[in-house]
Amino acid sequence: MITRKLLLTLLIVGLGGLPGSFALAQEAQDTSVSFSGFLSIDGGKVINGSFHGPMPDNPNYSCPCYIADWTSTGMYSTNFSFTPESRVGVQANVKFNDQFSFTTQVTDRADEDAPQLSWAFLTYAFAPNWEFTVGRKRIPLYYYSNFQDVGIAYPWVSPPPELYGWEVTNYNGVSLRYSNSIAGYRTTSSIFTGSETVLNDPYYLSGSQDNINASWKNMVGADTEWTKDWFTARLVYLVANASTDDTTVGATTLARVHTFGIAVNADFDDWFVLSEFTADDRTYTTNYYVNAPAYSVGAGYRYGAWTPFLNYGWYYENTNDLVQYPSPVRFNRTSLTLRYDVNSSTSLKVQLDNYREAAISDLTGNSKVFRIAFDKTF
Amino acid sequence: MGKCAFAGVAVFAALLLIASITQAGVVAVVSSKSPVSSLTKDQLADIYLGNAKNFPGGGPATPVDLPESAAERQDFHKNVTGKSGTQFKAYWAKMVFSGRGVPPKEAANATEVKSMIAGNPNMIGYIDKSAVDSSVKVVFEAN
Repeated sequence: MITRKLLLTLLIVGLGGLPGSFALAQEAQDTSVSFSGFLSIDGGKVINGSFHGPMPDNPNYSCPCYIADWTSTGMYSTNFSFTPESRVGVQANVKFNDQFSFTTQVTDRADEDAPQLSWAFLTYAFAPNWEFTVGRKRIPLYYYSNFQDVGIAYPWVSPPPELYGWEVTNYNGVSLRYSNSIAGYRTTSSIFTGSETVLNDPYYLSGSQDNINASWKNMVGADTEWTKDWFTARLVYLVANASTDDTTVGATTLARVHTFGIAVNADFDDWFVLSEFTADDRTYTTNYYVNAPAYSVGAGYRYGAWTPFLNYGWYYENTNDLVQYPSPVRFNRTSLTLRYDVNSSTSLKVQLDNYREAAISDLTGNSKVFRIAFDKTF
Repeated sequence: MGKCAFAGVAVFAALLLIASITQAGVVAVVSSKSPVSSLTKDQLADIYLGNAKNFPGGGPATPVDLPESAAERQDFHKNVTGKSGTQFKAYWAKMVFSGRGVPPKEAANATEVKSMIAGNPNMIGYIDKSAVDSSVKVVFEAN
């Protein structure tokens, strides 16, 4: 079912946009305002699977099930649903002059109670090639992180959950970006620092009904992306102090996070290959660690408006202490997506996922998942 | 036989027409008052892909695109940014929703491109070579 709240948002958005483009720009002297948005209506169900229990500690879930979006625990079960991943976002960009602009984006997900503020930052282009920003942004952890909700921008129904979807997604802070062409490569690099706290974090819903707050403090990171002709590569590294506070039982954890990521994409006219690897290491103050290497690799071919895409993803948690961390999450997944571009701002997708758990104890079970998606930007 | 010959002539005429459209060539233009005299393909691509917000060594650059249906647009992007209509839109979806800028403004046709550019030295557009007049200056020509 599409929730009433999402329908309402769609209606509001639809008033402006669905028939075509509503990127209206009002120019008054130097200041210009432009609006844009994106919409994804995703539906799906687990078509078959196996689960050995115990059931997740949540009466809303019945497994075998499939977590497509870990950040909000967007989970498909054997009943067809539009709720786990459907979303809509609207963005405003206010350009005050050639140096100052403000960007804000609000995203509303069908599986969350209230719209979320994804972006709200001021950009100061203080010199050619340089930008300084202050405010709220996405943590640019991976290649698609900045635009992971914008379905039209990638071949899958949603980015690989092996990499995408942590307990925090945004941060409040500052960043410095340098973009230029160097030796024939189009490059952009940034450093960023800030922090984030998520109250009653939905990330933990799959494992607990407790009220758990999550924080990343003192986050510092850098990324660099290089593109030439068919080739794109991106590197990212960040550190942060991650903490959780289970206010239901009064338990806290504190860990130092180190994350390294590399993405390499090859895009020829018809063929394209997308690959990404990450290593997320957490060292807890109570003398144990959890590290989670993960990768995703896929290839697609564009036949005119049709794009079949085959992908394999792998996620594997290791720990030195199964007493403190009894259930390392481990899984792999093969997906086949068929995308059809209705036009350059609208696409339809059908995807089959074969998800296999390799964990010591079941979290969601093994599942085969069928999904459809309607993606649009306006 | 007659039908075949007619079909042959029609195909030949169509091929000639396509060849003449392709050969006409698209050029990038700025206002005749702009200090910019020429751009390389990479510099031009950087401006249309939002990676450069300024002309090399100069003032701010505001690119102007033609509608997706325009043959000049397909020609221009094939030669300069190397992106198809869908790829260009997906690229700008990435840029816009990463908060890294707004896509090029769109003009309805070459006449509008020229009138926008003529009065604003910050703007850059592309038109068919045959549409160039004294109000604009060619800064890039494919091949």
